[in-house]
Amino acid sequence: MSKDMTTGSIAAPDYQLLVDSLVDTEVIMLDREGTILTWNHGAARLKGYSGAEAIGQNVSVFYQPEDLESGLMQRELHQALESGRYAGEGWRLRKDGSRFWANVVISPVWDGNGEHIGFVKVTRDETERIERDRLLQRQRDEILELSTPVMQIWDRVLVLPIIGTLDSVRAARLTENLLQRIASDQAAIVILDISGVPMIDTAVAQHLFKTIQGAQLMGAQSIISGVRPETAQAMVHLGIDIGTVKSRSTLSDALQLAFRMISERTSGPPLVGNGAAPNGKTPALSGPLA
Amino acid sequence: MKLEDATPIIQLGEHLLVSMQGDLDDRAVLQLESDITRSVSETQATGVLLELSGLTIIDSFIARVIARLAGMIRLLGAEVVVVGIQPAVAITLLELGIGMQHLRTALNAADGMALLHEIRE
Repeated sequence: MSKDMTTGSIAAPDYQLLVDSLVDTEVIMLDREGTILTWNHGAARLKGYSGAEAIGQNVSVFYQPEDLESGLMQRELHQALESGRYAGEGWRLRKDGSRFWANVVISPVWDGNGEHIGFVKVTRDETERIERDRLLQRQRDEILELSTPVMQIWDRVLVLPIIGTLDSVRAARLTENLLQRIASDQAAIVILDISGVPMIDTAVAQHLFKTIQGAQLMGAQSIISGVRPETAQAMVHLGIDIGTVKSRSTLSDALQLAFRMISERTSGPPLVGNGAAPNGKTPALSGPLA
Repeated sequence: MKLEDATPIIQLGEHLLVSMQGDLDDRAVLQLESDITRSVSETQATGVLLELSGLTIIDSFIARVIARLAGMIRLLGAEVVVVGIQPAVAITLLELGIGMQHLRTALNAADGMALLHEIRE
């Protein structure tokens, strides 16, 4: 490779040889307005245009219409010129109209007199990576969803079996799911079964009590079940006070308690129902007093 | 304050049902406090349901207002049950660290009414 040592630039034919050897990376030159001046194999493979088709076109043909409208291309070139480099990612178009996730680096080019003459644009196809990331995220969401199941086991009784470690993301999702279900199922009692939680530390206990508090705020009572001996020891040693929350050793005991609580509620004077007025000692509505 | 802005207070037998609205400013709060305390004492109500299902968002100001109202009602010798807290509101209260442990809550007005009867018995 011959190199002009005085200016530090590579002679043009060698430069083309170099960029053509990059088969999976687009390296192209643009003039100041974004007109394509050079094309390489990587660009042809990535975008589907031959050199003859691409050279002379404006780089804007690779942008999605909505990105062009928002002035993305001008912003990129402007930023490259202002700060000496632009790096970014986004969807770009191939010749056949399909899109790919592009990782783009644009650098300004100056001639020997310090005159700005154009840009070098380096683009890589990162579609696979972004799709992998999305798949991963989707699977993560699905696992989260699966790992926080809320079951309606009886009229107005929900069971929430907690399995595995409770981190703050899962705990937040769990609380949210549970509260939504309390509202939609009009649940009066929630059984939190923690027999599947391997270890209760202060953080997990705090999450648990936040969930119980949330249920309480909405008017549902909680029963904890499945506290194991080592968990009980740990909780007391950690100074975690479960307050007035009821606890039962097994899920079936908790269910029995829930049934008893439900029947006590429904056997009271007023009937529980959707906005039904309590029977017995309820006179008709009088008007607003305020 | 315009009349239609007033928080409705409805008498249900020996209980009062107060439907809280979200957009309360300082003046409206004072008005509400005086309306509720007057109503409780005039009707000799034994219980008050503070109904919050109309609140889709909550801040610490409204939370304090609710706690204050509950305190006043209790001083007048009536029980208070807060009903109809929405999931999003409950989560916000937890995040604000306002547990409202001292308040009795129920899922809806019917449950709240049952709870008021239970407390009195």
